[in-house]
Amino acid sequence: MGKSTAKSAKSAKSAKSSTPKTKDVSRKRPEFTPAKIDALVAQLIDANALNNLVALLEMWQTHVPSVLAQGGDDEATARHLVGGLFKSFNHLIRENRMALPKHKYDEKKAVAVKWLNKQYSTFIDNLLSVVQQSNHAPSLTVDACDVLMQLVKAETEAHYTEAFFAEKPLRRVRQAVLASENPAVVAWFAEEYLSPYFDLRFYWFHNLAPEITEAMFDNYLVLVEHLRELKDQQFAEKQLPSRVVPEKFRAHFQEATLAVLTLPKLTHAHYQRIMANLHKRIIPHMHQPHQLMDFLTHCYHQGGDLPLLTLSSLWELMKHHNLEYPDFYTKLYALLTPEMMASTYRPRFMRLCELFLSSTHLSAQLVASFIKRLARLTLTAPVPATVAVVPFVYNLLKAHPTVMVMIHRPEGGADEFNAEETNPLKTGAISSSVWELEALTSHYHPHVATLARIYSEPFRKLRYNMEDFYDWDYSQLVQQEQRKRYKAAAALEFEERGVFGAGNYLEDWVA
Amino acid sequence: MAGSQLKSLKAALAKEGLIGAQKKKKSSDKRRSDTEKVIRGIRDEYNRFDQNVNRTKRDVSVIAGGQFVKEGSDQHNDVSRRKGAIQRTLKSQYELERKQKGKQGGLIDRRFGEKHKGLSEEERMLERYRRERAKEAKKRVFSLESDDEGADDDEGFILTHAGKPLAVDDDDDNIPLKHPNEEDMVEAAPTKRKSKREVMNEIIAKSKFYKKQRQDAHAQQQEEIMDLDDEFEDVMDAVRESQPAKPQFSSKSEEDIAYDQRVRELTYDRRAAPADATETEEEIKKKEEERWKKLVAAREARMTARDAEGDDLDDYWHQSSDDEEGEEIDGEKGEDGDDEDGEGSGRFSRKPLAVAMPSSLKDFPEENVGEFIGQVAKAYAPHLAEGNKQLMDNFVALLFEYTVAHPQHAEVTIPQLRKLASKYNEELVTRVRNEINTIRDHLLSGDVSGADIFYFVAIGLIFSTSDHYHLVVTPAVIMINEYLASLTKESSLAQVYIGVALVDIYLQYQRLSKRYSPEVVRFMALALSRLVPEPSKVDGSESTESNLGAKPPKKPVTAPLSLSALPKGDVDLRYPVLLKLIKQVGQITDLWRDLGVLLDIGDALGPWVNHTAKYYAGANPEVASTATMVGKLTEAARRDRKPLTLQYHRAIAIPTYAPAFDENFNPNKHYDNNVHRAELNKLRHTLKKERKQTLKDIRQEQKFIAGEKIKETKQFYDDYHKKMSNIINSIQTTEGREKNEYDRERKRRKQG
Repeated sequence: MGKSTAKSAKSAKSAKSSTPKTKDVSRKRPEFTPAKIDALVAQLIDANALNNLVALLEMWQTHVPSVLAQGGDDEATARHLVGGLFKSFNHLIRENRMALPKHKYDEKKAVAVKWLNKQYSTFIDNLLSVVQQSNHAPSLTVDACDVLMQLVKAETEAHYTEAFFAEKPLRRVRQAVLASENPAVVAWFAEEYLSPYFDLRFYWFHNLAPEITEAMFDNYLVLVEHLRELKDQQFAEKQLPSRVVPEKFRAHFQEATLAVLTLPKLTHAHYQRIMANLHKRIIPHMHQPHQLMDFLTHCYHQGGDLPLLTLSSLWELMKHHNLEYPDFYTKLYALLTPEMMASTYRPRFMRLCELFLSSTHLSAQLVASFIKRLARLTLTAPVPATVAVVPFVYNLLKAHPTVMVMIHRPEGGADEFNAEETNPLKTGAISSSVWELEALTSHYHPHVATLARIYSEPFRKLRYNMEDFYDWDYSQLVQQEQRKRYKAAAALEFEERGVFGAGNYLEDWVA
Repeated sequence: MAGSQLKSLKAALAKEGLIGAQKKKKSSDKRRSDTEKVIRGIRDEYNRFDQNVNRTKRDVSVIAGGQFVKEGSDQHNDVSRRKGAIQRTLKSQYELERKQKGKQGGLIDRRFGEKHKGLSEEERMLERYRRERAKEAKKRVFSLESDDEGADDDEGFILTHAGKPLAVDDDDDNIPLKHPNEEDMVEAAPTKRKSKREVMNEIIAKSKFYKKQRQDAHAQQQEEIMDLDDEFEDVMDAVRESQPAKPQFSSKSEEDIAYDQRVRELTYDRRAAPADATETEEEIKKKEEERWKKLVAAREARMTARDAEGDDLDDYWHQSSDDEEGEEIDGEKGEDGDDEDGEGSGRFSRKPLAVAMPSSLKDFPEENVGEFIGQVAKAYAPHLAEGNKQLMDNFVALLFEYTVAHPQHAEVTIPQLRKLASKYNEELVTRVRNEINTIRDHLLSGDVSGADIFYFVAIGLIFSTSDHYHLVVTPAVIMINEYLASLTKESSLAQVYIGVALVDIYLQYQRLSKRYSPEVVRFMALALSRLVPEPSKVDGSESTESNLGAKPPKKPVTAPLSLSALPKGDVDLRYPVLLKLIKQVGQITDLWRDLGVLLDIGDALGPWVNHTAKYYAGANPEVASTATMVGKLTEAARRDRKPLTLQYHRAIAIPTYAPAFDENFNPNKHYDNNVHRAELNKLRHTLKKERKQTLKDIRQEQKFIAGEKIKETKQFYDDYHKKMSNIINSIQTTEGREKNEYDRERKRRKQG
């Protein structure tokens, strides 16, 4: 198979270049119907009419490129053709007609086998090109993937050694899939093949690292996003060849992933994408997750929203892989910025903050610093963020009663809070009060104002369920308002005021 | 049983542990009733003759004392004895009561309704009077001596047939009646005083007589008139001949004819209604003031009514339970003001004005829009024709659209719209709310027009913006703030311009309620950093590329800020916008001066204002004064800042629980840790039990009394019959004897 790769590539090229010519031919051979294809395939299988392969492949070259380019009605017939060809080759492989004879003297047979292999590689090339470029005929692409994998399976099973896996054809499939223009196909492939079949997954990531290029980045991440996690136990349940072990798979996976991470020309968006998946989709598959330490630490020290995204992965490493991170809370404190409050990653960050601050062993100074900082941020924060901060601080106060002095300090005292201090243990926030949260009781949003009054009431509620408060945005708030029904007449203004001009509604404006 | 009876009694008592040295302390927890039972048992044992045992032939079980017992057994006897005792007690009590009945004094108020609380004084009196009358009437029914008076007094009650009193037998009406007096005169003898009935008959007869007379006279008159009419023509001919001919047509002048016409019209005109008493200027002023006060108070209430809508707070934030049916809002009930002046005259002028209901914005005239709106409202008042309500609803919605699209006419349209909004509130509110999504799309896509901004202005002018919650205003405020929050350091001058306009509108919305908006503060700082010259001197930012007013211009360009013409780049509006921003900073520090965070706001915005003052204080003194004011207010806030004391409330006890370690714990029994509650429940239980028992007793007593009464009645009748039969017997005996005597006497006489 490997020998024929180069040739098949050539033939694929020639097929493309000869398309205009074959169109002329197609006029002579108008029949491109399922019935015709069925007839040819039946003839081939029953009567050993190998020359029918030529007819079928010619059909392909005549009709399939246009289907790929535009889609259309012929797609069903094209799918039929793919099925027919697969049936034929599958038959040949299973009959062992494609292997070279053992005896050198059987030259006639050897010629036939070579010819068959040539046809076969043409077919494979055609399929790969379908996988790689089709945006118009998704079902045809899916069929092509299916057929390719079936052929890999057939080749694997036809081989005389038990532990053999047809890696070479798989590698070509891999390249085609990773270079595919349609991410939906990649996602489908990951869910349909890579997730359930462990051996396939194993060979898929085997020696993948050297082949990784920037062009594959997106598809690789799509693949990773759709890869289900596998447990060692599941590995053991399946009866797999002795070569396929989870550790090795993880090592291969790690190798490939690190290759992706070390690609030289990754943009900010790329990093965002990686970080979004790192803790859930990548770290569990890795052999030695601590190899990510430097990468993560570096990202954590970057500006922008990258540190927010890095947090969950870092937490994963700290929790399960013994990463020691001394300045964690200082860094976390530094992340509380006005930009963060407006960021789309705010809910995620707040969730993590809740997790990090849930320990009751934290010092009151530290908790007070976080509370004060959050309160400061609500002075300029958008409503969705404010909505989350109010119950968040409530929960913190409830969990750390020593910090209650921030909302109730009858004996008085000087405010020694230093907003510039970066170390949360030294800000002196505990000597301050959260006037900012008190101001929220006169917030323009009626529900936020009512919510903010919890601080002046007895702390009866055990804690707020924060999930109700994290994921708000303006559109949801407006929708919530719109859902309300008209019941009684809306109150009207009764003061008569002019519109434009001095002393009127819009003083400094003209119409 | 050996020994004397006393000895054996002692032994029996000692055996039960009732006398002698008490061996065990345990006896103390024996209950008193148990002891009594034992003693009774012993006593029974020694009084054998007191026990009567009913021996029965057959083994019969009866229910006694709530359980099956064998008839004749000790238990049964016990129960029946107890029953007998109860019966005896009841009997004696009953006897006693009967004996005392009517012998013990006391005053019973039998006046009607004296104890009836539901009756008023008049009702009570009326009813008493009625009863009294009824009683009297009843009395007189059989009164023999005054039967005539009765007929008179029963308020003209007489038996009639076919509307005629039965007593009068005038079967022939055609015969002219004689004058009753004549008849009287004939009979003439004033023998006796006339009865009431006779008087009445007389009156009726008289009235009939006079009626007949009247009718006759009338008929005669009619006849005469007819005769005269017949002769009229002749008379007229004579008259015509004698008089000169009159002009055929009326000689009245035009004026007179018009006058007559007017008079005739007035005849059919509506009668002039009496006008309300003319009010003096002062009265009118006072009334107006009162109305104003009322409105202000209502507004105040709405502004602070936090719980009006905040009860379901947790549900509000809990999104997962999205019930699609929506929430209902308790709004202020619309004041149905007397805005009828527009249609009052329309009621009887009945002439539809020649205005067409506009169906689109193009149908509005160029000039005199206010007049046009008034005319439409008058012509299509809902009471004038069916379907007008619908038309007016649409019109009000259209008018809002028109107002938003033509800010230049706002001075005229807004008051009209406000007036109509009180009547067609729902349609207007619905339309304004439907618009929200469109406006929001415009704001977020950056394709904002003057109309979009004026939408918010119109809302502010029409609706009450100070409410804690308002169906229209609340979403509008959220949208304003969403726009302000969406601006970034890269935003254009046009966006900042729109932001400034929205902040102005927001500040007008909150001029009374003074609600805080973080988005506004953020926007102010952002916009100032974009517009002031050399911002790096304030915040130390290195990059001045994004700054819009990088260099202070020598002579700042002033241009009016226009709502409809948003800056497109041809006019340099940086300076006026900056001035406006500075003014707004002054406004917000003033507006939020009572907030605890004024210090932080001042610290954030003050430096920008001071910085601006350095460049433009000369050109515009207002900048300098704003800077001073902000500085002063901030310093005052710094001085007055006190630590928060939000938790001043009664200390709340922590509920604690201590185990009781009860050895005889019974899991089926209900234990109550709350002593008070337990006692209360116990008492309640006792009360219930006692009430039941009392009711049972009362029933038993009543039953007994009823039985006794029946017995007594029976006895009474028996006695009566006995007495009667005795009398009859004795009479018969006497009679018999007398008869015999008589017979014998007769016989004797015959013989003799």
